[in-house]
This record gives sequence, structure tokens and C-alpha cells, in this order.
Amino acid sequence: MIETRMLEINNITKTYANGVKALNGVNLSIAKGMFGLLGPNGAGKSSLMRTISTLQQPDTGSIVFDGTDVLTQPNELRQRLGYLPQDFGVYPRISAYDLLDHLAILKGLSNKAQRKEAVDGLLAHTNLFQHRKKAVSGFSGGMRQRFGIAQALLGDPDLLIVDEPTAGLDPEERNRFHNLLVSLGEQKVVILSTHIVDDVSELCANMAVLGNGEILLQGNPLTVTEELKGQIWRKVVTLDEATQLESQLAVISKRLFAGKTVLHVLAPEAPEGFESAPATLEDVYFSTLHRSRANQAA
Amino acid sequence: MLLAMLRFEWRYFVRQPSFIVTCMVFFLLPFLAMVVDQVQIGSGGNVLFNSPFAITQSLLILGIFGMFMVVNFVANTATRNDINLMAEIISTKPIKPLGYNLGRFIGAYLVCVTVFAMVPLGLFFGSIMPWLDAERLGANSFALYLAPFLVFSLTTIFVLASLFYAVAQQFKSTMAVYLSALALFISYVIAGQVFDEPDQRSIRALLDPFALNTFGEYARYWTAFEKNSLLPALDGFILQNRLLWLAIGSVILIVGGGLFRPLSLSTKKSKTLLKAEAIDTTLLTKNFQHRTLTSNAWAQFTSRTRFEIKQVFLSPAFLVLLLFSSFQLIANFFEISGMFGTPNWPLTQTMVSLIGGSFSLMLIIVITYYSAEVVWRERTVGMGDIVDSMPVHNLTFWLSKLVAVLLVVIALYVLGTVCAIINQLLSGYSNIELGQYFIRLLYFDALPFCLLVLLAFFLQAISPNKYVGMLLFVGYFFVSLAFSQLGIEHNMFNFGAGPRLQYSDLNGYGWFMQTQHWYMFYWLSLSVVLGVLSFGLWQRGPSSNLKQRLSMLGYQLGSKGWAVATVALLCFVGSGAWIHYNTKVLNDFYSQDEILDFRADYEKKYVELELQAFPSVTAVDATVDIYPSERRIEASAAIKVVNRSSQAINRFLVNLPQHSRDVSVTIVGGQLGEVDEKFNTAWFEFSQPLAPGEERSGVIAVVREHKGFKDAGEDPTLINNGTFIDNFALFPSFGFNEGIRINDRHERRKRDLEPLQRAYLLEDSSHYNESFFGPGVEFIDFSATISTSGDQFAIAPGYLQKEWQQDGRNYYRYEMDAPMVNFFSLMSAKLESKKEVYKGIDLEVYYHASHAWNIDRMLESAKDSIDYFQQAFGPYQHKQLRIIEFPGYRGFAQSFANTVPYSEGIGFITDLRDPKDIDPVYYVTAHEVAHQWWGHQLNAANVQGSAILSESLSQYSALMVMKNKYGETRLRKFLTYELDRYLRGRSSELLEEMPFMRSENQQYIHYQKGSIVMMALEHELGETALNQALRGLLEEYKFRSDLYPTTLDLLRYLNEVATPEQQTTIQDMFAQITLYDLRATAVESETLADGKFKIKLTVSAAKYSADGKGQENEQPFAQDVEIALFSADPNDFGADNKVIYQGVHSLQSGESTLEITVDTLPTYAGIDPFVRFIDRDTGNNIIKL
Repeated sequence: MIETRMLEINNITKTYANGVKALNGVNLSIAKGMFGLLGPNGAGKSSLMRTISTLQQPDTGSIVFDGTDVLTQPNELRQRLGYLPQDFGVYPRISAYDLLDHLAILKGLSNKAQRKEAVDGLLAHTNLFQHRKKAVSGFSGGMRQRFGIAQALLGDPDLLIVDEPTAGLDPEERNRFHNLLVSLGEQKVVILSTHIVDDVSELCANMAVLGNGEILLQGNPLTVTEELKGQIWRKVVTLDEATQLESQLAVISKRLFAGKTVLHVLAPEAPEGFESAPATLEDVYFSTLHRSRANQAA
Repeated sequence: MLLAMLRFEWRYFVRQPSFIVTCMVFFLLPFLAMVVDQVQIGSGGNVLFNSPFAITQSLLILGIFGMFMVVNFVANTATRNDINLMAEIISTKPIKPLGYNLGRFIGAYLVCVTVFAMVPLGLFFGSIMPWLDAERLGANSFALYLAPFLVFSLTTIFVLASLFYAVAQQFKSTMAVYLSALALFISYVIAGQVFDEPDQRSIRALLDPFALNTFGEYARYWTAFEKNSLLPALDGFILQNRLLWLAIGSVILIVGGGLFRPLSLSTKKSKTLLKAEAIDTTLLTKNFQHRTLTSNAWAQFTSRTRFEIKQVFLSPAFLVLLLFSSFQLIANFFEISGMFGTPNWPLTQTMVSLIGGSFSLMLIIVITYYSAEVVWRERTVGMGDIVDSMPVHNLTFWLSKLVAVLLVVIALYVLGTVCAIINQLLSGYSNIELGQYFIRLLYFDALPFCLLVLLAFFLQAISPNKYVGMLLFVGYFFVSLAFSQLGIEHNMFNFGAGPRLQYSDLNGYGWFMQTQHWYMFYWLSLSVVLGVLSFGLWQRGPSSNLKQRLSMLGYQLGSKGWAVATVALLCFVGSGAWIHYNTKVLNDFYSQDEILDFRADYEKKYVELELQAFPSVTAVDATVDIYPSERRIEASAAIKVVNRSSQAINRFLVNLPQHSRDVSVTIVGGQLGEVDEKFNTAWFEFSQPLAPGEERSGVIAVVREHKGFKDAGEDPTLINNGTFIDNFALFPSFGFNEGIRINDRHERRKRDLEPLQRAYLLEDSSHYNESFFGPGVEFIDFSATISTSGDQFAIAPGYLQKEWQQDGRNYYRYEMDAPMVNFFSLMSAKLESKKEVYKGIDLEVYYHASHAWNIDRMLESAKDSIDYFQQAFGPYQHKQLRIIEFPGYRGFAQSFANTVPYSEGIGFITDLRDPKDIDPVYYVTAHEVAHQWWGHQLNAANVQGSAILSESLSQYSALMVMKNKYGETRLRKFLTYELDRYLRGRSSELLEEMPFMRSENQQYIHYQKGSIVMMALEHELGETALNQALRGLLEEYKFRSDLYPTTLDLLRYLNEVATPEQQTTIQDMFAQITLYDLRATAVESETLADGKFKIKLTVSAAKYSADGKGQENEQPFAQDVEIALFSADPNDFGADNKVIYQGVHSLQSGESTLEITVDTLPTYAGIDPFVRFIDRDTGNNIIKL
């Protein structure tokens, strides 16, 4: 399969004034379609997203989107950009319709009829049309998030960056949003940052795992999952046993199921008492993080 | 619980940045006030920097600012749980409300006290700074700072904390607390301006929660000695006031503070659920994928601007701002009072100045707040990331936000204009000059603030967050206040500033239009540069540092941006060069310090000439051509000079006038030498010395003109309409110029000058042959030919002999037939006139067409004065009396021979419609007419007390005319004002108060004390005897140039008509500083069998003698004092008041009880009601039955 690489991120490094190294030599090459960026809290996801969205200058590196140098030509990129930040607030005393309309003008939708169509349509798609005359500042968390999605889609951007978009959405709204994203995703670059593995496995053709400011893994979710096939083992244990086993084996995840602790272990062969488990993207994610932590400790 | 909560509050606050910042502010403000000369609070003159008075004053004034600090902490404490969403957690804990609430309150209170304790600390550290002048500091002690802090600050903060805590508890809203603070502040300011009558002082002292008026009343007449030595103590007014407010504070806290109320959630927190409408599913098919287009900047800009304006103008804060501003302005309207509390008409020029004055400081706050708020709006509300990633150019954001803030500034001025016009219409004033409102408010007032907005935006753009930006801007503002202190006085170095407009109805904008154009162009150019940089460096995204933005500057500006910046920079440099050329090359510019240094150098160089003789002028025939529109005067004068000294004069010093060229002095037998450029002086050398008594003739000539424009020190004497210049300013003067000497004793000491002797000793008869105008100024023969442009007339003293036109110019020939002092005015203006012939005297008033209200009153006063003075003192020496209005650049009336120039700022614009008010027009006119006798017929010797003979006698004469017209009861109000001003005048004496007869040109003595003393004399000796004495004095010295009278001569004539007892009293008045304390302490009435009433009045009396520094010693009192009973309040000037009883009673020191039997029942009783004693407090002289 030949893919056109639309977004090239080369060697991005960013250290904040307080000494925190948020991004460390990040290289990514992203084609059209949905791209999932996974990582724990504090991994540098938002820093990377803001950097691509022209809101932050890295210390080194370059970002090129479809011929536009993001770092030196931010205004040009913004013409083609849609961005939903991780969290945001809104102006007081202004209705959803008015605010979206205002943002549409800023986005460059100067044709009045087209703008109205776009604003109405987006409000409907995000299930906010019935609340359009209410002040956005009075919206609940989920509604506000949907408003954020609506504004990010204004102007039909070629590069859509959504940072934790489904936080606070109920399952129904989340599905609705996923469908919307998928329908749009084919024609544009959509970068979805999240710490929810299921979002990525459901939506994305490509993904990367970011940890401590570095890309730990990059690839197709199916391929990377396939690579772990036959190496994931699981055992249902008590809490005491879990503690003991964790010190002996490469336990990549420990989760509860029906009140019992279920351990997942990454190993070429089954440790004693473990049974084989099908590899999931979650296992890939946890094993990547586990490896990264182990490397750091070493 | 209580202690735990208290500890929690304490630990919570001391870690907040707001605590640290307010501590710094409350430390630095008093610290700076202590160490920076220009912003001294309460000290100055003989009052030491760290005197108890100055420290108390500082604490009290900062206490008002402290209100906003208290609001911050207390409101935070009371509403913190709700705001930080902790309420649900806290309310579910098992807490006893009283301990919890009281603990929090006391904790917050202690935090406020701690912050405010920075004030005395800052003052103390300021006072030990090594560069302070040690002579102006007293011994430091702990008590100086502690006593006022304990007495005033602790209680005031408690009252405020209680009040705000209660409001916060009741409304659960920070906004409500801030509003209540604002309301308190507004009502405080308004109350202060509404209740400013002298008889309302004690009520104000009692009710002032900040105790500023209380202490003001307590220390009202403190002399320098008392200010330096007395600590405020808990007694009298202070005790009553503090007890009252402690009680009020406690009640508010207990009743409104909800101390016992169980903790609960505030009800309004729960959100109303949104009701959904039915979904229109057809919308889902709509195509929302319309593409972003390029080049839509205009649509973005208009939408963005509309949006920003809505955000600003529809916010509650803006409404509060408008309300606050209009209140502040309206409060000022109450204060448009001229002299003696009588209001002036609300002229447009006055209203505009008021608007400018009341908004200037507030605009700094507005700009600081709104610039930060608007520039950082997206970041603050959390939309920053979304909006910043939109395809919108920085310029659009910057410009739309700028427009919104500029509109706030302009909206305030529009609001001010509307309020002012309503006020004008309500006052029945109809000459509303919309053009003046527009030009002055927008171009002269608003524009500089708009430029400051650009500066504020620039500072915000380069700051990492809004607080740093605000700090930078406020920091800049405070530093700019100190610019003059640092020697930076030229407006070219003070962003947005230009020469300050003084508007005159006569002369319009004068030269200020030109300077304003240039300075505004200059600053606007710089602002454009700043503006370009602002949007070039505009912050997009949450944390892009300045370095990175600088690297993108070229990209953001583009070639157009660079071009604009370059052109603007060139304009800035070019106009700067032009301003520099005009103000510093064509004209001289000196800083205040340079001027003082110059004056000191002049004195050092020439003081030895002080007693050296020079020729006196005895005749002047002037030829003066005035070119008003070109601001040029070509003048020459044929003079006669005489040597009055006993030695031959070989040479003398000539001081050349300012702003002049081609100055020449030609006297037979000598010539003017080279000009010393530094001092603008030259020596006149006689080749044949001028022998004693010898008279020679000569010619002096000068061209006065103006080139380019000046930064400061413009010449208000020579202008387009309303030129008014006297001969001292126009022509060269001879001999050492006393007026150049520095008076301020501290400035003298800094420059190694001996303390100044303000006047020669009264007994120094060597100066008895010099007039008080100075040596060499005596009675002359005068005539003048004066010309001006075709649309103006010109006036000099003397009678108009001839009037003609030539080459389109008006010419006048004036000749004076009686001797007049060599002090004359030359005027040229276009004015209306009203003329009248009265008893052979031509009365003329020249006035600006829109200032016609009081012309008749002036004429009436002139006629009454002429009648009284001719009958009492002797004939008027002239056949003409002219009153001429001149522009308000200078604010006095001055009497020249038969000519009285009268500033537009006084008299002409007084609103005399309310008969209850004192009539200052009538009074000032009478005073100036009286100078034709006292000053122009009777001159005075150049020794101590000289102004008593001109000013005090004119005061007396004017008051007698007033008394004949308005009656003695009404004079009481006038004299009460005079007494108050005398007592306040002596409390701010810079050197030493002199006894009456030795006054050293001290205005509070020769005017204010003069009124009281002379009227007391009139009462003591009787009108006839006193006038007889004055007439005798006048007759002896009238028009004499060989020997001038002193106060000793006045005393001599007074003693001639006085009994030995009266002579003692006169001696007391003239030679001592005597103060009295007379009080009416109790009164009872009893109805007698015959229907009459017996009034039992208890009074007390005390007498003190004071030294020049104000230290007082009690003396035995044994004098006759007037007692009166009134049918109505004697303070009510308009009431039809009957004096039921008026009698003289002999009183001794201490209390005495008097019994008076009268036919009708009085309502008020008073001791010395007509103010014949210098009473330290007239407020307690009248008592109500």
C-alpha cells in the first residue's frame, strides 16, 4: 500500500522553562486518515498536539504539513487546521450559535449562507442544535466537549487535531462522535490523542505510543498487536499473590475482573500457572510502557 | 476550633501571592512617600517628615486605600468555600458554626492588620534612609508609629472587616462585597463634598469611619510645634468616633455576620438543567464542510471588534465603572465653589476641566485593568488554544481589542460630557459649548490616555502573563510620577504628555493647539511603532516565550508592517527633533532644580548690591505697540531718573526682561555695558556719575516676542486676546531683584544660602524712604501712547486724551494727572464694555461677552465703595475707574492706578443667585477699589508690616462697605471664614508666624487676620474714631515719596483716638500673637412672672499667647466679651434673624454664668458671635436653647 505522507515531524524537542523535558526527539510521519496517539498522563501528548497546532514553538526540529512549514508559516497552516484542545473554557454570556458563528468567521467562512449552513449542520451533528440559544458557559461538561468538536470541524480542515476528545462524553455521544470522525477521516489527517486504548483500536489505522516525551512505538494497531501474539499470558490470582508475582515476572498489567485480580505477563513461554491470552492493543500499550520503564530503571 | 480555624486562615493567606503583593504595596507606598520630596503626606515647612502628625495623616489616608485590601481578604475568606467548590466537602463535616466562623473572621482580620502594619513599618524604614535631610527629621520613637496604628488603624480595619464579612455572608458573592466597598467609597467621597460647611465639621468628625475628618478636626489648627510634638490620644472627638464605630462594627458582625448560622450550601449554586428542544434531523444532512477561505481579514476584524465591544460593554464591571465615574463626577459638581463657598456658574471650560480632573487617576486604573482583561481574555476564559489556532492574523486580534479598550476611554468622556451638560442645564446655564467639549475632551484629554492604552497593550504583548503586564504598566506609571523628581521634566520624555492646556474663554486655546499638534504627532508616531511591535509579538498559544516570538517578528509583520514601523519611527524622530529645536534651541528649557540653582547663583553673585543705590524713576512716557496675533510688543519709554541716595551713583545693575530682544537703556551721561547671558543682566556705567538729588532723562526700549513654542513656562502676559502685562515684566528693572531670591528655607540650605530675611525690621528706618514695591519704585508722572490691532482696544492707566486709527491699528493716548505709583498695567483685548458716569467719575467694566452676570454688582460695589471711602478717608484721586477682565491663566484681581485687572476665574463667573451665599464679587471689587486709597494714595515703607497698610486697611474698608449693605449678622459668616483661614494659614506657616504689625508678606496675616483685627478695632474704637485715625494717617503720608509710613505710624494714629485701656488691647492685637478660647457651654431659660424670660448662659473664656512656632502659654483673661441672643440660627445667612439681645459682659478666665432677662424667648445664644476675638474654635460659640 502506497501512502502519501502528509505530516512529517522531525526530531521535535521541547524543554519547558521549569526544566521538564516534554518532548525528546520526536519523529513521526503521518498519512491521511486517523492517527492515534496513545500515552499516559504527562507523556507529552498535549505538548506535541499544541506544537503541531502552531501554539507552541519547539526548541529544535521541524514539522511540515503538506508542504507548509508549520513552525515558520503558522498562519498558512491555520487556514487548514482544526484543533480541539484537551480542556478549554468559553466566553461568558454568549450563546452556542453566536459563538460558533463568530468562530466560523474567524475560520474564514465569510459567505453568510454557507456559514449558516455549516454552523447549523455542526450543531446538529454534535446534537447541540436544540441548545443553540443557550449560553455555552452554562453547558454541562459533555455538551461543552461537543461544542469543542463542532468548532474544530469548522471550515473543513485538512489537519484535524483532537486532544482527548471523548473525555466526559457518555457512551452514546462517544459512538456518535466516532462515527463522525470516521466519516471525515479518509480525506484528512486526523490526529487523535487519548489515553483510552479502545478509542485507538476502534478508529485508527495508525498509531504511536508516547512516553516521557519519546515515541516508544509506532505502527498499525493490527500489526503491532499481531507481533505480541502468543506472548501474553494471564492468571487469576489473589491480591497477595499478585504482589509476589509482580516482583518475579514482567507483569504488564494488573486489572480486576469480577473482584479477582487478573495479571497479564509478557513472556516467550508460559510462566507456571499462567494460561495463554489473546493479545490486544491494550497489551501492546502496557507492554510498551513496561519496557520503557524497565529501560529507564536500568 | 476557633484557634484551629484562625491558624488555618493565617497559614492560607501568608502563602497567597496576594498577601505578599499587598504587603509590598503597603510597605512601598509609605516608604516612597517618606523618601520622595514631592509626595509628602502631612509634612512640609516646619512640620517634620516623621512628626506624629505626618505619620498619623499617612496612616489615615492609606486607611482608605486599605479598604480594598480588607475587601480582598475578607471576601476571600467568606466566599472561598463556594468559589473553590469546597463547600460540599466542608458543609458535611461536623463543625460548630461559631468557632468556625469567628476563627475565620479573626484570622482574616489579623491578616489585614498584618498587611496594614507594613504602613508604619514602611514609614519607619523610609525615615531612616541616609539621604533624607536630617534637619527635617525628629527623634524616631516606637510610640510615634504605634499610637496612631493602635488608635486608628486597628479599629478602622475591624469596622471594615466586619462590614465586608457580613455582606459576604449575606450575599455569598465576591462581587457583592466589592460593590459594597465601592458604594462605601462613593458615599464617603460624596458625603465629604456635600457636608463641607464649617458648622458641619463636628458631625463629620463623629461619623467618619476612617477617622480622617476626626483627626482633621482634632488637629485642625495645630501649629507646626503641635504637629511635631502631639500624639493622637483617645479623647474628645477621637474617642467618641472610635467608640461609635467599634459599636457599629460589632453589631454588624453579630447581626449580619451569620456567626451562629450552621454551614450550608448557598442555594444559587445548583445549575438549572437545560431544557431541550426537539431535534430537527434535516439539519444533519446539511453540508457543514464549507472550506476556509483566505483574505477575509476585514470580515474577521469587524466581527472580532463587535465581539470585543460586546464583551466589554455588556459586562457588569463596565456598568459599575460607569456608575462609579458618574458618581465621582457628580460629587465634584457640588464643589464648584469659588471664593467663600459661593458657587461659580458651571462654565463649559470649568466642566471640561472637572471631567478631566476627576477621571485622570481612574483612567489609569481603567487602562491597567481593561488592557490586561481584554488582551488576555481568551487565556482567562480558556478559549485561548481554540482562538489562537484560528487562521486570523495577529493584527486583527490586536486592533479589535485595541478598539474596544479605546472605546471604553472615550465612553467615559462621553458619559462625563452628558453628566456635565445635564448639570449645566439644571443650573440654568445655557451656554453649552459642544465644540469645546469635543476638542478638549477628545483631543487634549482622551488622546493621551488612548496612547497610554497602546503602551499598555505593548507591555501586555511582551509579558508572559497579564499580571506581569499590569505590574509593568503600573510600575511605569509610578515611575513617570517621579520623573520630575529625577530631573526629567520635559514632556518629550513623558509618554503621551504635552504642555498642559489652560483654557480661557477670552483667549481660547491660545498657543496650546500648536504644541498639542506637535506633541501628539510625536507620541502617536511612537505609539504606531509600539503598536506594530505589539501585534508582531502577539502571543499565540499558552506559552511561547518572547525570544521565539522575536524570531518570528519578520514573518508576522511582513513588508507592510516593517514599512509602517519605519515610517512611524522616522516621523517620531523627525517631530522629536522639531520639538527639541523649538523648546530647547529657539527657547530655553530649565528644570525646576536648574531654575532654583540659577536663582541661587543670581543671589550669590549680586546680593552685595542689595543695599546699593540705583536711580529711581520719576516720570514715564511710554510708547507701546502691541501686535496680539503675532504675540509681539514693541515698547519704549522716555523716563526721568533721580538719585535719591546721598552718594553719587557710578554704575547700577540692569535686569533685562524675559522673552525679549533689542533691549536698550539710554540715560544721559552713561551707557549700558555687555549683557551677561547667564543672568540676563548688564551693568549701566555712568561716565559722569549721577550726583545725589540729580535728575536726568533717558529712554528704555524693548521688543518682547515669542519664537516657536515652549515646553513649559509660556508667557501668559502677551497673548492673542487678553494681553495684560505690567511694567516690571515688560521693561528692564534696576538694581538687585529681590524677587529672584529663593524663599524655601530647605532649598536655600541645600544651596548654601543664609536663611532669608523676608523683610527688613520694622524699626530699620533706613528703609523708610523705600516703598513696599521695593527700592526705586515711587510716585511718577505717567503718560502712554499705546496701539494695538484694529479689532482690539488697549488700556493703560490715565485718562484717554486721544483715540485714532492708523494703518488699520487702534491708537490711544493716556495721560495721568495725579501722582501714581510706578506700577502700571498695559492691556489689549477684544471685550464688551459697560460704562456709567457716577458723581463725575467714569465707571467702566470691560468683560467677555459670555461673562456678563455680575457686571451690575461690580458697578454697584464700586459706587458704594467710592461713596464710603470718599466720605471716610478723603477724595478719590482719579476721574475714572476701570475694571478689566483678563484670561484665567492667572487668578487674581490687582489694583493699578484707576485700573483694576480682574481674572476671568474670579468674580465674573460667580453665581450670585442664592442670597444666602457670601457675595465675593461685591467684596473683591470693594477691596480693589479700596487699594486706590491704601496702596495708591498711601504707600508703605519697605519694612515688616508693609502689607498691613495696603491689604489689611483695604480689607477693613471693603468689610465696612459690606457691612453697610448686608448687615453685621451676615458679616459673621464672612469673618468665620476669615478666622478659619487665618488659623489654617498659621498651621501651615513655613518659617515663623509674626505678630500682626510685623507681618512679613504673610497672606494669612495681612488678609485674614487683618479682617478680624480691623473689625474688632472698629467695634472697640467705633467706626468714626477709627476712620478718623486712618484719615489722619492718610493725610500725613499721601503721595509722599520721601518718607513712607509703617505700622508704627498706624499704631500712633490709633493710640491718639484710643483710651488707655483700649491702647492695651490694641497692643495685644498688634504686637502679640494672641489666641482665645471662648465657649458657650450651657444655657437654660426660665419664664418669669411678668412674662419675660430669664436666660442663664454658662460661658468659659481663656487667653493664650503664642510664639512664632505655635507654642502657646495661657494668660489671664480679663476682657469685655459680646454676648448675643438670636431668634434664629445665626449660621443661616439667609434667615430673617433678629438679634434679641446684644450686650457686653466682662469675663475672667474660666467659666462664668450670666443671667439675661429678655422679652421674647430666643432660640440661640452665643458668645462673641460677631467674631471679634481670634478664637481657636468658633464651632462652640453658639448654643441652641
